[in-house]
Amino acid sequence: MRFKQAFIYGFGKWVDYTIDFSDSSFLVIYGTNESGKSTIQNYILFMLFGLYPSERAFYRPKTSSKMGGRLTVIDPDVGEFTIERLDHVRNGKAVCFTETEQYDEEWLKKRLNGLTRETYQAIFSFSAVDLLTIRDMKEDELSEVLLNIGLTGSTHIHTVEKKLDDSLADLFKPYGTRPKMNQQLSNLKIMVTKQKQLKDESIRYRDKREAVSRWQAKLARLEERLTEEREAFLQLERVEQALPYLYSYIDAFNEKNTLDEIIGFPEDGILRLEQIKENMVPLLSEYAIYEKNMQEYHKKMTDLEDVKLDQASLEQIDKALQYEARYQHLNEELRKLKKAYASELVQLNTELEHLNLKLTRDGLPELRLPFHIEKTWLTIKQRHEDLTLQSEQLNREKRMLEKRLTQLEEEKKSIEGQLLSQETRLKMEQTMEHSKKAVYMKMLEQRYNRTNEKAKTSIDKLQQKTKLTSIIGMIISLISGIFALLNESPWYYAGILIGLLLSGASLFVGKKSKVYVKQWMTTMNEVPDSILSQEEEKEVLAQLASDNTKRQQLSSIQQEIKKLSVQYHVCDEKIIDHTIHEQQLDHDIHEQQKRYPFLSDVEVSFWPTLFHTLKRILARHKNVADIKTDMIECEQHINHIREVVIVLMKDLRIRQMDKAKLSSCFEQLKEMINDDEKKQIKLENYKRLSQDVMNQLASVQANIKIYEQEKQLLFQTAHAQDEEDYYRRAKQYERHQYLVLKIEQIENSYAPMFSKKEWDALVKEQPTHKEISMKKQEQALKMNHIEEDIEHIRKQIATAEVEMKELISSHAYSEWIHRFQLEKDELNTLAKQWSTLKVARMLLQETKKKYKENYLQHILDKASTFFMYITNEQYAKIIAPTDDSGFKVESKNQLRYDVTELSQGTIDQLYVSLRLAIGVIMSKSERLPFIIDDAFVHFDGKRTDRILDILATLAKERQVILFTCKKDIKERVDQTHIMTIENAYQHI
Amino acid sequence: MSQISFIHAADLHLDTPFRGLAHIPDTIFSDIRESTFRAFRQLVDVAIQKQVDFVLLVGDLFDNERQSLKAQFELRQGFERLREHRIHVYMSYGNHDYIAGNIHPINYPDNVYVFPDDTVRHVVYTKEGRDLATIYGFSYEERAIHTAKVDEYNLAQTKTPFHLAMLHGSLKTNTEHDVYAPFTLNDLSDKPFDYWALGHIHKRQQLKMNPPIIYPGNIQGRNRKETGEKGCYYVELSSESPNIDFIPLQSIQFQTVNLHVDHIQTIHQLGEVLKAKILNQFSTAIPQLFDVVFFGTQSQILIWKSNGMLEEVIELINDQLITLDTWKYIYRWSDDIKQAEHLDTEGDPFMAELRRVIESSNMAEWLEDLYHHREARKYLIPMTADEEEALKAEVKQLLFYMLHNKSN
Repeated sequence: MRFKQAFIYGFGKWVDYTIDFSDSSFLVIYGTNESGKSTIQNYILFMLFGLYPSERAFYRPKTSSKMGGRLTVIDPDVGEFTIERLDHVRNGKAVCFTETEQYDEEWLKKRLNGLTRETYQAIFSFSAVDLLTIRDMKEDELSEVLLNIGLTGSTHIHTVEKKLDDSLADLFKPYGTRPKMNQQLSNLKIMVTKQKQLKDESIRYRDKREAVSRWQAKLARLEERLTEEREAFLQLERVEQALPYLYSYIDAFNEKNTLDEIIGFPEDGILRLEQIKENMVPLLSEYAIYEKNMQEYHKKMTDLEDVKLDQASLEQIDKALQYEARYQHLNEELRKLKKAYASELVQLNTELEHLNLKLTRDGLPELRLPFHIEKTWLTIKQRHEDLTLQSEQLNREKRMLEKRLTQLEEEKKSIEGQLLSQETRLKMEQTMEHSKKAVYMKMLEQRYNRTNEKAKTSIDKLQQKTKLTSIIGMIISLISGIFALLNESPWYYAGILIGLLLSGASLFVGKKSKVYVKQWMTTMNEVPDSILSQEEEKEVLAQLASDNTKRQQLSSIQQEIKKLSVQYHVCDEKIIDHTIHEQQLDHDIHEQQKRYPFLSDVEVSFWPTLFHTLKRILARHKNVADIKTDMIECEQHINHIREVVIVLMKDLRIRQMDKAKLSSCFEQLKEMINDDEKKQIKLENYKRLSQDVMNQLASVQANIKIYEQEKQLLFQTAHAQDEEDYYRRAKQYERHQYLVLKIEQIENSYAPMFSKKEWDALVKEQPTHKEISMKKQEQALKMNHIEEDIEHIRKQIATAEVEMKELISSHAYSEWIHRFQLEKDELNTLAKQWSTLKVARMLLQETKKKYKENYLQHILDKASTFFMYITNEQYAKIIAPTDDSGFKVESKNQLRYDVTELSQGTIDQLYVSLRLAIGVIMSKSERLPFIIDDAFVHFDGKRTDRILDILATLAKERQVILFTCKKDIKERVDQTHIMTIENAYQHI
Repeated sequence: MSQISFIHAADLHLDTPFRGLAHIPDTIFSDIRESTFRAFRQLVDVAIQKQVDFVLLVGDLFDNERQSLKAQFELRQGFERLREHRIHVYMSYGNHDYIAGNIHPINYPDNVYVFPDDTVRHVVYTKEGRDLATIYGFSYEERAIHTAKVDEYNLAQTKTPFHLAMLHGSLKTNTEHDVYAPFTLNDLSDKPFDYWALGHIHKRQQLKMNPPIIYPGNIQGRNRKETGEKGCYYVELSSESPNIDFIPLQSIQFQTVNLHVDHIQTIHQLGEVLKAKILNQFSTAIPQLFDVVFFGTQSQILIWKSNGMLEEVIELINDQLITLDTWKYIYRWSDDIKQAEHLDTEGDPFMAELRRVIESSNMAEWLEDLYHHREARKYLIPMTADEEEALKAEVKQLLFYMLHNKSN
């Protein structure tokens, strides 16, 4: 499309002004400032896109009432047409005229391919003012620029985006609460929680229902139990009614039980017994007569037997009579013995008196003289005699010794008086000794040394020997000890002892010899110092000799004395021995005397004689005693016989005429025996009679016995002891029969009410009225409890059922279900809305991205070509801005410069290149005219030429209109392309 | 002469909510909530009024997932009422009320026979001492049955004049629903049953008439796809040809309104036209829920839509509609505008770019913020491919409109 001509009716300062864009496609419109260049630009835009009324008002000319104009364009499709717009006509809408047709605004729009004013400006028109923006242009801004190029324009896209965002935010935010959907979600959430409560309600219903079925089961159980208990109660009542009968039953039963022991009773037992008894009566009376006779005989017989002596008495009397002869004999003997006893006793007494000792007849029986006494007494007598003799001898000896001793003592005294004193004698002897020693000393000295050594060696030897001995002794004792331990023989102990003694002795000897030798050696060393003269020596010797003699005498006397005193002592000793013997004898005598007190009156020497006499007396005494014994024995026999007889008499109740006179007794007894024999004959008689009666009785008895047996048979069958028993049993039998009947009756009458088992139990328990009524009360109480329980459970069930009904008819959950569905649907509806918006929003974003990707690079490439040309290949490439850095350019030597580093002119050139590129790329199909408003201000001459070259080239394909106030541009351009505004103005 | 009459219904879905209603006024909410129960009560009323012998309920009486005590309670009450009139009930459980998932098993009265497990069993209906009908069926024990249960249907050795089969399942060829207990039409018609009482498909269908093979549909529509009359079949079987009548039970009806808007100039006019159409064209005795589709070629409607005027007008209409004796309510509206004036994007490289990007866009990624949101995803229904396409179209419309219309 190209502009051909514009005719302005009135627009701003321009009124009735014609611009002829001529045929040239590159047109430079030159004008000074305020010459109305911008107004012309706006006019063109107004013609193409129209203006809002307010904008139109702004351009209403002050000088003319007419606002509007015409623009004639040449369209490649429809050819030439003219657009007319008038402010007051059709509200500023355009009318287009071709040669033949007239079209409205819409048609125009279509011609412009829906291009808007903004888009047009974005693509095809730029001014010096726009150049400033590129300096800070970032990626986004560049995108904006690009978007603005489209039909919609970036602002509008932004508006739509914003609108969508707002709507989306109103609906839903992933983490929000306020937006509609978020609110709906929380609504739903609340509803879900509520659903849980409601579901609890249904759980409660289920629980209730379970409880009800549980209770119902329990109720059924309780009701069952109640009927059971009721039945039990009724049973108790029946029992209570039956109680009197029960008791009579029990009584009857018990009685019957006791009677059950009588098993069987003969048929017509009583009648049968009566018959037997009738038959028996005559027999019995016969029997009674015989029995009476019999009794009489028996009485007589017993009477006789009573008077008659019994067999024992008879035997006793016989026995007593046998004693009679013996009694006579004994009496005779006793008399003889008494005589002998008297004579013997007289003799004994005489003998005793003879002795005249403290011995009476009474003491004799105790006196025992064993055989050894005789010897003892004889020994004592001899010993006594010996001792008396000895004692005399000893006394004599003693007296003699005493006399001799006294003599010697006197002699000794006299000699002692003549003796030198010990000191004098010692002095004298010492003097002698000294002199002697002095003589021998020298002589001895030599020998001494020799001897000394000898002694020493001998002592050593001795010591060694003693040592050896002691060791041997030790060994012996040790060995013995060992053997002693092993064998425990006393010999070994002796061995030990010997050994020890040996060693001890040898040690002792060893020591002693040492001491001795030492002493000896010291004495040897003493050296006498004085030597007596000859006379002195003689005198002294004489004195000493006499004294020695005397001394010898004295010592002999002394020896004598010593001897005698020994003898004396021996004698004394003997005397002492003797005294001991005497004492012993006295003791023995005393002993004998103690045993036989009568001995004290008798000399010891007469004791043997006395023994024999005593022996004789004792023999006599024994004889006397024997006689005495015989007498007593005889008397005893007599007495025995007497006693027997007396007892017998007593037993026979015979009065004794004289106790003493047994002979009369014997007589009496003999008489009695005779009597008795007579009675015996009588008795025999009676016996015979009774035997006859007896026989008769037996025959009658046999008859009776037959009946009796028959009777017994009856008894036996009835198990009766006797008749009485039999009758009693008969009665019992009858009773038993009655009881059985009664029991049966009671049983039958209660059979329908109680089972056999129950009845038996009752019989066993025997409940009392009290018990039953107690039980009834208990039962009633139990029933009451159960009834209460039942009532309680029924109430529970009723309540639960009511609650269940309430629950079941509760619409809450039902309502919830519906409400919830609605709310969910609401959410889904909102979700649809949101989805639509969201998708729309995302689509926009996506499209923008794609759009940019598709166009940006083309534009940059094209722009780079332009830029390279303008800068004379100073720069080779334009690099798109990013988020954080603006445009960059690459120089021909591949250095990169930030847009800010470039000079103002170069920046402008960059921008121009860019705008031109956008225009070229974005409007390949439109090819609307470029309108450039003084964009080359900072261009140098060369570069201005070059841009003008580019524009000229571009103009080949589309119309390019350049507004400028620069003269140098005007001058650089081919004059045919120039239009000066003054000219145009003036042209009007 | 043998004759039986019965009601055949299925898919009661008692106390299950309506889908796609979003916010509705409280005044109609309670009616919506009660609708399934009302329909069921209606069913009981019909059974009593017609003095039928028994009622066949072929599965999905309620939803285990949203099972309310009330549903059980209503069900039992209904059965008790039938019991008072000596009407038997033969019911089986379906894939929504399968036995294992039932959290509130309730004892039904003794006039109700429930097929106890997933074995095909039969039970004999006796009337006045005469064995009249053998009824066959099975229940879902678990959520799904994929085996062809039809093979298990065989005549029992009973001497009843009629044999009725209850089967909750779908045709093998069905692609719209989950295929459970699959069968073909021949499978059923080959078997010597007098009536095939089907369940599971909510759309009423008489697949065949000899013998009758019938889906009664559900008794109450619950979303915009379940439009029109909903109810049960009243069936009389005799030695002659069967008599089968449909009896509507629904207490609320879903309707779709298509409104041509090209001739409409103003928003006000639009409101008037729409209201008139709803009031005149749908004057039934029961409440109705409307899904309005504006179609045409003019972009005017888009403007009204985007500036909220359309919504305002519909709210205004709704305010009036819900005060009617039997209320009506527009619960959804959409447009189907085939724009005559297409946006010229030839000259705009940006718009051209935009068009290209739309076609190649990955929308799911952009929607992750919401659809993957920890809370939101619990409640959001993922978009189907169709919905994604629809969304794309919507976005396109929106963006072109927005970018084009600079005045807004």
